[in-house]
Amino acid sequence: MSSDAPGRTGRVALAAAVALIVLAGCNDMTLLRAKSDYFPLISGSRWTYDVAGNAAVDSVAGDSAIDDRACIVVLRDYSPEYWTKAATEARKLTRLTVIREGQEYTIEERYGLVYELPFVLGATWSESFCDTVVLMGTDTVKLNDSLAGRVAAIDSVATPAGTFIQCYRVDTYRDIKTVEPSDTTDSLLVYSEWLAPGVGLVKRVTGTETRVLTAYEPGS
Amino acid sequence: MLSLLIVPLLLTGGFELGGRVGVLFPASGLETNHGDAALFGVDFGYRTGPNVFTLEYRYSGLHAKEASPYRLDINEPAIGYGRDFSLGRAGATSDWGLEGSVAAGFGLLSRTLGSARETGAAPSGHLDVGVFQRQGHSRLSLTLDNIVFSESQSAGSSRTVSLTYLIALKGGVAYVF
Repeated sequence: MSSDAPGRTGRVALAAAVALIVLAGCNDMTLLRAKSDYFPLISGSRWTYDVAGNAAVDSVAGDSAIDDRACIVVLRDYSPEYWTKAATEARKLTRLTVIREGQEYTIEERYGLVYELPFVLGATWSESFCDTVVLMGTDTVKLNDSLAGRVAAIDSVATPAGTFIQCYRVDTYRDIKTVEPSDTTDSLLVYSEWLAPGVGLVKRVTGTETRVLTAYEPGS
Repeated sequence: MLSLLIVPLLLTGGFELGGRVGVLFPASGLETNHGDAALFGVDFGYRTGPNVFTLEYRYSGLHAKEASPYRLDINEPAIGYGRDFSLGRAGATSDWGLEGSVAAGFGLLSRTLGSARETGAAPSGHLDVGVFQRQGHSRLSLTLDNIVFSESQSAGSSRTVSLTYLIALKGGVAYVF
């Protein structure tokens, strides 16, 4: 009796351990979020969206270099965007221009911060760019381009392409202000994006416009 | 019936108290942006012959591979059962051999990035194998712990299950009463 007791108790303990694992069905998915890439820029990836009944296609075209800096070319509605991505951030090439007497002048050209990575609920980031540009020898343009982002929620998002769990909702506020002697412009862009693990952008709401994923083909 | 099992155990066994330190290696996707981390643990065990029943607590904090304030903390209480397979004996109280154990744990997880923090929990299973050496009241061990965390969530009509695998190399020292 006593010699067999440890073996039996061991089996009871093992069964209890397995039961504990099975029954403790926690759905936090914290480790899934920790190991997932929420902004995959893999060459060949293709996202198709529905935007007010029209199809819009984004795709990753491949690698390139702008201003001697390696970047990834993303075709957004067939228009090229240039991104850099590291473990801690994702940046997009921002190029702002003004037209004077039929000629185009660049007043901002840099890789601006878009996302701070990895996403953690409640994380915030911001970046501000200020510059004064003199055009045609006399025209002075003061530029202030600021962006603030916030990881606002963890949601499940139902789309025509399927239901995506553990999506981070990122709220972004971008304010571009230009001050000239004769004119001042201030444009504020506010949008919310839902990014799914391993997929990327599945939904984006800007004002009254909603962009929602209808198909996704991962690259290789 | 249960008391018939427990009473002989209490009469023939003894307690042990120990600590462990080691290195935790992330795998199954976590290694992409998490580096290796130190692991610390304390064990309280009840030993009867080659069998041991343990209550354990482990902690590890995984940092980002690149310079970043990001961290993933894992606090984990666990219960386990282990068995020694003695291969050599030197005297009445000294021996060495192989050991194996299984444990069920409950990971309390926390991800932080600066002041931002999100928390969660996930059950885990452990399969720990290694070698031990015991002399008198002291017991040393070196083990390889295979850890699997299980997470699941329903998505529409289907259920997504995510298993996360980690490996820990642990050295332990215990005092056997």
